[in-house]
Amino acid sequence: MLLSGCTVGRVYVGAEIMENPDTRIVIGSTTKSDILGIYGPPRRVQRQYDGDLFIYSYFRKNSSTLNIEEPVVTDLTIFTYTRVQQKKDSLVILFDKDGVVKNYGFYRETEELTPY
Amino acid sequence: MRERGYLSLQIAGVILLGFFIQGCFVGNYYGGQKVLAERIKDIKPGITTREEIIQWFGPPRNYVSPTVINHLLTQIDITDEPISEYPFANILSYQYDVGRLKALIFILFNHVELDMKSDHLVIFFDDDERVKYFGFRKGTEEFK
Repeated sequence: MLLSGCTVGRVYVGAEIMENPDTRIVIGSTTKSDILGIYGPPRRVQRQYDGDLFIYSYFRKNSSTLNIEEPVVTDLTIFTYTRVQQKKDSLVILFDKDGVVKNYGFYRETEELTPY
Repeated sequence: MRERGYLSLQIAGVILLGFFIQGCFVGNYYGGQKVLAERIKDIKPGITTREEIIQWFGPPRNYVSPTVINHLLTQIDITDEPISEYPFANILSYQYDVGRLKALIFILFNHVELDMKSDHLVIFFDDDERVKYFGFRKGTEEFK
């Protein structure tokens, strides 16, 4: 007798980065206070010699596993298929010493996730 | 005769469901102290002091030990980074985490879903120990 089982897992951690930084951030003008107002608290703050770095991220993990096994006589796992997709939306904002945006980088990886 | 047929069908359906549906699991996780959202409006940059903030909101998260969920997520390899990190003296961070775990367990199919949201307040201070700027997000509202 063969038994097959399928497990689908979903993990969501953090707050989604809703606002597109290209429309909200102006380099040399947007301040740290503006950023906190738009995006809220960053997930991490890094301090550098020439200014702070704000890191925002939203993490998603989709996993699917298919097992085919013979549990009665041999207790053998005949086939295992696992697919794990781990994607993160990241926004990194670099400030100068006066707290004005010097540069930023944004990448929306979670759009690349497929359902299965 | 037809009624007996329906009844048999219903009984068979219940037996079949009983065989395939093993269980359903719903778990909630609450970590940290709630952030008093009604006090946020009282925070005034350049005026409010660090002392007042600590009086209103209590000990900040970044000065006390990280939450269980923070450990768990990194330990079981769900995510490879901490939920938040502010290792600086001029930043106070308050965070209240809520996690929702839903699982449907069948014989042939399982579905597990974990969602983590946080209410998060972060406050930066100037050299005079007054609020320089702050940010607040009520992430747990997304669950409602």
